[in-house]
Amino acid sequence: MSPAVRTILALLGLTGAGILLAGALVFGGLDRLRLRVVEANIDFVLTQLRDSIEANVSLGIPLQDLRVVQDLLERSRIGNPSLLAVEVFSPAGISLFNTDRGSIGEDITSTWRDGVRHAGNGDRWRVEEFGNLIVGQAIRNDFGEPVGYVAVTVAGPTGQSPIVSVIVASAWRFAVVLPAGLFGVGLVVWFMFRWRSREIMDVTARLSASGSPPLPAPPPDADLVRLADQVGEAVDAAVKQLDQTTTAVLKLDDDGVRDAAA
Amino acid sequence: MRRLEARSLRDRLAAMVIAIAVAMAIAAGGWRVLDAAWAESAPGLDGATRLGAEAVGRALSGQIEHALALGIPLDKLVRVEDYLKSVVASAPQVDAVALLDEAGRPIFTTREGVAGLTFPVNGGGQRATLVLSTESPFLNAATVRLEILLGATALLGGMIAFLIASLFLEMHLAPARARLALALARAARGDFAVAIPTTGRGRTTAAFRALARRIEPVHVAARHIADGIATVRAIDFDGSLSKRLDPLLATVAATRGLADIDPGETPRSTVPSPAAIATRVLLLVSLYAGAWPLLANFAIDRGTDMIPAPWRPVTPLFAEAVAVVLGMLICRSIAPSASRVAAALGTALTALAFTAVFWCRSYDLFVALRAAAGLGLGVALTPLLRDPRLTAHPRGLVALIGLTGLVIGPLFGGLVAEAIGRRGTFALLGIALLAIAPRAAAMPAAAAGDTALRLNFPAQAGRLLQLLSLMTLAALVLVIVPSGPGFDNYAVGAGLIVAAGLGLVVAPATLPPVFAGLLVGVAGALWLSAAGAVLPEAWRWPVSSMLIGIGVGSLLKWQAAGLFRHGRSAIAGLALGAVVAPVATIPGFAAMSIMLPLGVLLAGVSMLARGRRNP
Repeated sequence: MSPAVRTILALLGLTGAGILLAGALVFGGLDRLRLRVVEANIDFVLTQLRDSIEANVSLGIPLQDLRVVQDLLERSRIGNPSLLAVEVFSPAGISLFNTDRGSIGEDITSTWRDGVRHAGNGDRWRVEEFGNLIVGQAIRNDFGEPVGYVAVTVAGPTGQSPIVSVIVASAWRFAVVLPAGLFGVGLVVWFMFRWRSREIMDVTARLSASGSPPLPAPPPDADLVRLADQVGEAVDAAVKQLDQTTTAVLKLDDDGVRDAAA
Repeated sequence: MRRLEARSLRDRLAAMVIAIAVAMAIAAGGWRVLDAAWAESAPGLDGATRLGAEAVGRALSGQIEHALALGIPLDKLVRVEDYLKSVVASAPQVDAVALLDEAGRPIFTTREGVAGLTFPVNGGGQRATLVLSTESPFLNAATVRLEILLGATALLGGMIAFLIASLFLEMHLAPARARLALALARAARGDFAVAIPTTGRGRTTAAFRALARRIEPVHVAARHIADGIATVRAIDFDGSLSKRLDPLLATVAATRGLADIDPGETPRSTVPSPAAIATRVLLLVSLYAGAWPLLANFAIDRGTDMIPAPWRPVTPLFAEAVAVVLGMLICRSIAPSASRVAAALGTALTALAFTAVFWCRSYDLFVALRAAAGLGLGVALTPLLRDPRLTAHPRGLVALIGLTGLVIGPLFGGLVAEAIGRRGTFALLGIALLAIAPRAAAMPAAAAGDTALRLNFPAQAGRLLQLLSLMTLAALVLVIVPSGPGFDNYAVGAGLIVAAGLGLVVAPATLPPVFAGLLVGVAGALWLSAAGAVLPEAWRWPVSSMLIGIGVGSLLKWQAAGLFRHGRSAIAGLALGAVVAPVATIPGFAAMSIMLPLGVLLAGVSMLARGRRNP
């Protein structure tokens, strides 16, 4: 494979990869956006719950003794049908209040503990578990110390991702765009490489055209073509001279044979 | 000379046209896919946004009902407007809120003309309506972000296409054209003993073959004359014919020797062309640098109780730098003939270390994998950077490595991470590195020994300047950006690294070194509260990155000749950069403010270096 063909294939491969990357960015971006919309829906509920609980904590009552928290959680759950569960747990990871009352007193899972440990900005953490999305936030007292955490569970988007249907719906666009893009780029690259190697092609044509009708004069900036013409002239002159010399040398041979015969 | 420059300009124009074509194809393709995907996703997203807005509306109306039930008149509620504004600010699915009285007149509103979802508010015998507009700026911002990412992908594709086309046109076609011109010029002068490479494929090879065919009659005629001479000498018993022969041959003395030359095929050269070597360097550097926007934040996320968060990126980066130096030493101690195999193995080791990050869950393992990746890089890159054909143009090489290491690689890594996540990116980069490992076996053999030790040392100040420059760059690119603005936003992190990279590429080598150092200092000063007020917050990161790129790039180009001879000093600079970056956080400053003392130091040392250079 010639270097030019390899380069053209590399450029076509790059174009194809670029279009695929653009597609992946679109699908990935939309998937994350869907997740963020779900999170944004939880954010308000979570912030309201945290503010209410912190307002009670600032009265000096220990979190585990705040019976009103259970009512708050249940009211939030009823007001938002998308919420599967709302829970408040202690810094030690023991569930204190839960819309699933049977889980009160149980330990949180290690996934939740990892989420709490790697909480990002604003004390907010997010984990995915069993196909559900759990978003949580720290509850702090007036001294800024965490006295517990509130966590909201919603049906996660991972189990019912519509991104597959988005990819299927966009597939026909890919089927049109990819070959069209490759064809367009291939055409431009072929044209450009042909333009840049035209002089070399002209040289090949000039050097291969011995005996054919004389070719037109090269353009003024075509140094190589002019050199190729000069090569032709030099070759013809050298061959003529060598042939004449050969004839003269062979004539000596004839003279020698004649002398020997005499 | 003017004609040569015009040809080079035409080559660049062709490369630019190709780059634009590739960028446009990617942009058009991405745009069409975005259009289709958005049309498919919009109903679901709108529905989810509406659900969230309804939840906010219900909660708000419930709170107002509670207040009314306590007997507070609707128009006497205090600080409602501020509260509604805070709700709009904190709930991205809500654009505006208004509270209307029983007659439909707005009592409290965040803006004029709110329309959308309505929630009845009844309490204490009073009636009102809460109106909530759900047009989400959140979705609009997401669309703009996707469009920017597609633009960045098109830009990346265009830049890579420009590099590929330029490498072919300027480093392959142009030298081949020059060789052809030389062969033609010699033949035109009557020197037909020129060696013509006729193996290989392509248009230049075809031209060489045509040249070989064109001068073949001269070789044939020379053989005829040689046969004639042999015949005459065979019967020249008394030497009389030779006396008559010599004057005849004097006229063709230059060409008759061609009979001894076989004009057939010449053996194929096994030495890779400069274009091939440059391609391998750029591939290796860009794939390796693809991970740079992800390393620091990945290290922080692995977490360890032994090191505070700002210092967590330091250990893997430091281990990596030490391993690179070790790899360079290994490469130096092995026989040049074995360096090709070592280079292939080094690339494969780097590839495996990258891929293994996909399964890495612990901080310790991540440190070990980065060390393995660095060791492989040191072994793989050393023979390439010792090739004299590359290092003959050190400033160009600095710009090229800057372009791939700080622009193309990080932009690629950042975009792929946006699309498939960090782990997937590490795996993809590893697979790509593994794919180029066999090509590493065809690299030039390493030069015996380290030439740097035998060459004249530049002034110590110059070496210190190199070290400081690379330290500054490493602190920014490897630690400050990935653990700062690029922590949760890989595209933004990559974009800032690209800003520094573009600054480095365009930095003039003629910029006064002291001024270049001061640029770095200014970038750091922007982060101290008083100076920070000069520039709006949104512009501070890109401007600082660009200033550092220009300053450091100018200094590196100024010292370029020594840069590739002192590989270990360069790596030491990178390692120190990783260490120094979190230092600014100790006194409570922004990490970027570390650039202020570094810049002043750079300015001072560059004055010393200049003094040594121009005594």
